[in-house]
Amino acid sequence: MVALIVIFISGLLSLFLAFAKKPWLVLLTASAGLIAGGISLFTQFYYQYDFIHYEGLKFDGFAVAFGLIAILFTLLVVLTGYSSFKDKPQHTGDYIALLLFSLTGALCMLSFTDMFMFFLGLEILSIPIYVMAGSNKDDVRSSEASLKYFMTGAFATGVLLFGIAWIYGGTASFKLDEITAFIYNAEGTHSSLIYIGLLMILSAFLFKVGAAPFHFWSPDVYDGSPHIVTGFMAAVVKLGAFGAFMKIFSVTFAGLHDFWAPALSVLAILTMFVGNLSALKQIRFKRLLAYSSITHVGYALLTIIVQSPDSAFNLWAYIFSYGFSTIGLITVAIIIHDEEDRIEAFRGLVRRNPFTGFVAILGLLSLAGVPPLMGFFGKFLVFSEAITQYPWLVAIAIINSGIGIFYYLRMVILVLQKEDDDKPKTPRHKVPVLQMIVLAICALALLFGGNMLIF
Amino acid sequence: MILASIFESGVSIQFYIVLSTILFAIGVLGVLIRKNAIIVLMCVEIMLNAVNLLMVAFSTYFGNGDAQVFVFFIMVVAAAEATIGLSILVLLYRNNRSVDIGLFNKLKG
Amino acid sequence: MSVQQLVPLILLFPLIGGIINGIFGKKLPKALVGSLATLASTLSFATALMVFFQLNEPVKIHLFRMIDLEDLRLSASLLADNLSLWMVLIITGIGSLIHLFSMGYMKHDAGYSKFFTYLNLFIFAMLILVLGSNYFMLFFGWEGVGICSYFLIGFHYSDAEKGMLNGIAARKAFIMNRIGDLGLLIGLFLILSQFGTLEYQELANIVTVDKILGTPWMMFGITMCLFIGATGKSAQIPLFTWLPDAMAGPTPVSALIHAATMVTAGIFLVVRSNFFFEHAPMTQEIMLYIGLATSLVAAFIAMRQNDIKKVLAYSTVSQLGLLFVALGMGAYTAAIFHVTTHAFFKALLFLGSGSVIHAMSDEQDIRKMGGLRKKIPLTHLTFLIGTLAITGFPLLSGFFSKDEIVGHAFSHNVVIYGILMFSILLTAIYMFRMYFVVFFGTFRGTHEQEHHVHEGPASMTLPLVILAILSVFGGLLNLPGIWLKGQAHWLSHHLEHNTGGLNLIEAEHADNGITLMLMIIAVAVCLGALVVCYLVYGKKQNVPVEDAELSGWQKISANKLYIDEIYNFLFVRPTEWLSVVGHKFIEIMFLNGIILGFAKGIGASGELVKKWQTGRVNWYILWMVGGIVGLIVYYLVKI
Repeated sequence: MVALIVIFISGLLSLFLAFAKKPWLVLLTASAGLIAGGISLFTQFYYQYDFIHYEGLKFDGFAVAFGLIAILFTLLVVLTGYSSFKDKPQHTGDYIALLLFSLTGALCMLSFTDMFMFFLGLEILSIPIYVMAGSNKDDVRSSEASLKYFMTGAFATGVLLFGIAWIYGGTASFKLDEITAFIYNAEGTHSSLIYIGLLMILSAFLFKVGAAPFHFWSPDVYDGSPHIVTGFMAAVVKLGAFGAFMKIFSVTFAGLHDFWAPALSVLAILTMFVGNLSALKQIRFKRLLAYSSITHVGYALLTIIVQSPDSAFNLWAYIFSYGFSTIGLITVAIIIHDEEDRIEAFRGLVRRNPFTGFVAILGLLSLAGVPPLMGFFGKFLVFSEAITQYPWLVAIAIINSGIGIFYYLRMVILVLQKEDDDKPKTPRHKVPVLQMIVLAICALALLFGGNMLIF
Repeated sequence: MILASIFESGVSIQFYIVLSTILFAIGVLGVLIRKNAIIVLMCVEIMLNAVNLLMVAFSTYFGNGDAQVFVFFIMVVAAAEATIGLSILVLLYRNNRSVDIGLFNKLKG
Repeated sequence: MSVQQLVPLILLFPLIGGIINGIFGKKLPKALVGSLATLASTLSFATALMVFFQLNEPVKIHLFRMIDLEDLRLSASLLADNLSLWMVLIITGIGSLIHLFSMGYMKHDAGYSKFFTYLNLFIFAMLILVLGSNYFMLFFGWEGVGICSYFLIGFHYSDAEKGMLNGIAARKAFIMNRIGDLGLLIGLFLILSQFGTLEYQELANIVTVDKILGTPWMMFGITMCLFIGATGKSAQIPLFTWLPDAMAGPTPVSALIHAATMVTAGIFLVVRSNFFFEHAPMTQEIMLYIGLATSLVAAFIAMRQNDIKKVLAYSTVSQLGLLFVALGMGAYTAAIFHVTTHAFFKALLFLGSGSVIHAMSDEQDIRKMGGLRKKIPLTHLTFLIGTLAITGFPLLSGFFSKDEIVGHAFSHNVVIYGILMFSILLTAIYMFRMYFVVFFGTFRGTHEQEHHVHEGPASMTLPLVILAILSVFGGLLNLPGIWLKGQAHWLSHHLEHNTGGLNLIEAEHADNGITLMLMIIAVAVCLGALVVCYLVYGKKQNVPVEDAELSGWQKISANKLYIDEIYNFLFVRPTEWLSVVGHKFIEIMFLNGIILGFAKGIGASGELVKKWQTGRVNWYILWMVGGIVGLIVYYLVKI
C-alpha cells in the first residue's frame, strides 16, 4: 500500500514538476519514487510484517514478487525513454506521470481481493495507455493505434463488467474468497450464470493479454504506438494482466478448472500458431515484436492451464525473462531510431555499435529460448511443469518454438551481417548514458538471470 | 395470459437478465455495425448501462448494496473513458477531418 | 595465505593475463604484452611453489556449483594434492620458460599479442585440467587446451605459402582429437551412470575402500573409453598422426603444448584414474601393447625424417608410447617421473630446434644445415645435452627415468623389455643422426642464410640454459635404490602419499644386481648408437639423401609407414563417398522435399494469417465477438 501511494505521489509530482521545464528533475522524481516504491514493497515482503489486508487490496507474496518486477520494468522503461521524452520538455512530465499511474493500476491488479479493485486496477492500468499510445500527436499511425486500442479496450471492459455482473448474480458476492468458497461448496450444481460470467471474464482477460482470437488489436497498437509505450505494454501491462489472470483463474475459479481448461488450451494453441505464422513475413520491428509477444502469451498461458503450486513462480519467471528481452530490444530500436521502424534498419548493427548489437542478439536469442540465456530457463520451467499433465500441449509449444526460431535467427543474422556496399553506410548511432545502463542491465539479466531462476 | 401471470408474480430476476442481455447485445451490434466513432462510443455506453442495470437488479434481488456501489464505480470509470475516447476522437479529427472508423486502416498485415 | 586461497590464484594469473592481452593486446607495446604474459605464468609458478611447500594433505577447494539437479551435481572445485601440484609445477615452470623464449622467438610476428593470449589461455586451461577435482573439470580443461592447441597449430593460417597447410594441420588435430574426446565423454557418462559422481576422491573411495565395483565389462568399458580419450590427446595409435602435423604451429608451441604439457594430459588422465585401471586388467594389457606399438612405429618413422621438428615430433610420439607402456604395467609414478624429465629435455630440444630454425632464417630441413656447432655454440651445447638426455646417456635425467620404466618392463615380461630396448635403440640412433647432421660437417644452406646465422637474444638462450640444467639433474628427483638407500625414489614416495587411489600401488623395486645389469645394457645401447652415428654422420659427413633415392625400409620410414594414405583410403574416401550419396539421394530427393514443403506450407499459412489482420477495428471486434460466441457454444455443448 505504501508503495502504491509513493508511486502515485511521485507520478503527481512529476506531472507538476514538468512546469519547471527541467526534464531531469522529472526523471529524478520518477526514478526516486519508483525506487522508493520498490523498496517499500520489498521491505514489506522481507520483514513479512503482516500482509496488511486493506479491504480490497492485499500485498501477499504473489503481489510483491510480481509488483517488484513491474516496478523494475517501469523504471527501465522510464530510463530508456527519457532521451526521447526530452525532445518535448513540456510533455516529459505527462508521459512519465502516465506511466507511473498505469503502474499503480498494475499494482492494484496484482493485489486485489475483490472485483471492485480488480476493475479499478484494470481501468487505471488501461486508460493512461490509451493516451500514451496516441502521444505522438502528429503521427497518424499513433492516433490510429490509440483509437483501435481504445475501441477494443472499451468493448472488452464492457464484456468484463458483464461477466462480473453474471458472476455476482451467481454467487451474490464480489469478494474473491467468497466466490471461491461458493464455487467449492456448490460442487457441480452451479447455475449457468457462473459459467457464462466466467467465460465473459475469460474473454476479457484473453483480450488484455492478447491471445487469439482477441489479439487483433495488439499488432496494430504495438506498431503504431511510440517505442516506449510498446515496451511498457509488452512488459508491464502484460505482467499486470497475467498476474490478475492467474489470481482469478488459478485461485478463484480453480474449482471449475475442468470446465475452462480445455477451452483455454485450444485457445493457447491457436494463439501460438497465429502469433508465429503472422510473425514470419513481417518487415516492421514493433509489429514483429507484437506477434512474437502473442506467441509468448500462448506459452505463458500454459502456466495458467496447468494447476500446480509452482505455476505462479513459473509465470513470474517467464514474464521476468520476457520483459528483459523486450525492453532490451525496444531500447535497441530506439537507439537505431528508424523512421519507418523497419527490421532492415538492424542490418550490420553489431558492426556499428558492437555492444548494442550484442544486446540485440541476446534479446532475440533469449526470446527464441536459446540456452543459457534467461528466456530458455523461463521456457524450460513452463514446459517442464506442463509436460506431465499436457504432453500434447507442450509438444505443440515446442513445434512453435521451432517455427519461432526462424524469424528470430533471421534477425540475428541481420544484426550480424554487413551493410550493403552500394548503399550509403549508416553512421554509428549515439547511445545516451541512460540507455547504455538499461542495455547493460538487460544484458546482465539475460546472461546470468537464468541461473537465478532455477535455484 | 402470460402477461397476467407476470404481473401477478411481480417482475422476477430473469426478466432483468434477459433485458440487460438484450441491451448488451444491442450495444455490441452497434459497435460492430456503426462506422461513426461517436456512435460506437455511445454503443459502448449502452453496453455499460446494460451491466449497470443487471448489477442493480441483482443487488435488489440479493438484498445487499455491494453492486449498487459498483455501479457508481462503473459510471465514474465510464465517464473517464468517455473523456479519453472523445479526446482521441478530437485528435483523429484533427489529423483526418473525419471520425469514420472505417478510414483508419493504415496499420494492418 | 592458506592453500585454500593460494590455489585459485594459480589459475587466476594466466586467465587475467590472457584476458588483458586478448582485449588490449593489439594496442599495447609488444614488450609489455610479452612481459605481461610471462609474468602471469611466472606468478602462477611462484604461487604453485608456495602451495607445494605448504601442502601436507590433499585440499579440495570449492569454487561454485555448475549443475545442480536432483541426480546430477557438478561443481567447479579444485583438488590440490601432490600429483596435481607436481603437474602444475611442470606446466607453469616450463610454461614460463617457453613464454620467455617466445618473447624473443616471436618478436617479428604480426600476431604477437594473439600468440601470447592463446599461450596464457592454454596455461589456464591446462591448469584446470590438472587441478580440477572431478572429471567434469578435467573435461573442461581438456577441451580448453584442445582449442588453444588448434588455434596455435593453425596460427599462421594467413601465411601466403603454407597458410592452407597450417589450417589443414589444425583441422586434422581437431578431428583426431574429436574422436578421442568423444571416447572420454562417453567414459564420463559411464562413470556417472555407474557411480553417480565424477569427483576423484569420492570415486577413489568407492572403488578402493568400499570396493563397490561395476561388472568387469563395465570397468573395461569405462577404462577403455578413458583410454581412447587419452590416445587422442596423447597421440597414440591409431590417433597419433595429428601430432607430427601439429608441428605447423610456431616452435614454442610445439615445445609447450605438443611436447611438454598437453600431450601428457592423457598420461595424467590415466594416472588420475589409476583406481579404475587397476580393476581393468584387460585395458591395461591393451594399453601396454598400444604403447609399445606406438613407441616402435614412431621411432621407426623418425629414422628417415628430415624436418628437424618432425623428428622431434615422432620422438615425442615414441616417448608417449613408452609412457603408456609404463602405465600399462601399473608403473604410475615411473610414468610421472618420465613425464617430468621428458618435459625438461623435450622442451629443451624443441626450443633448441627453435633456436636453430631462428638462426637459419626459418629453415627446417636438416639437409640444408650442418656445421652449426661453431656458429651457435650455446644452442649446440644445450641441444647436445637434450639429445644425450633423451637417448639415455648415463647420469642424465633421461637415463634414470627410462631405466625405471625399462626395469618394470624387465620384471614384467622379457619380450616386452626386448622390444622396448629396440625402440630405445632406434631413438638413440635417430636423435644422434639428427644431432650430427645439424651440427657437424659443413654448412649446406644458401649463402644468405650462412651470413645470417646468429645466436638468439638472451630471452631465448636463458630458457635453453635453465632447461639444460634441469635435463642434466632432473634424474635426481627419483634416483633408483642402487644409488642412495634411504633417499631413493623421492618422487615416487612423494606421489604415493595423498594421491587419490595411488597408494594402492606398490612400486616394484628390482634388486640391485638386475638394476645394474639393465643399466649397463642401456648405457651400451646409448653409447653404441652414439659411436655408430658419429662414424656415419659426424666423421664421414654423410648427408641424408633425397626421399626419391631411398629404397626398402628407408622409403617406408620416410613416408611415415603410409599411415596417412591408409587412413585416407579406409576412412576419408568412404566417408566422402557416403556423403556424396547422401547429398544426392537422401538430401536433395527426400529431405529437401519434406523440409521445403513444410517451410512452404508454413510460409503460405503465414500469408493467410496476415490477411486476417485487415486493419479495420470493426473486424477485430467481430473476431472478439466470434470468440465469445464460440466460448458460449462450447459451454452449451459441454454442459
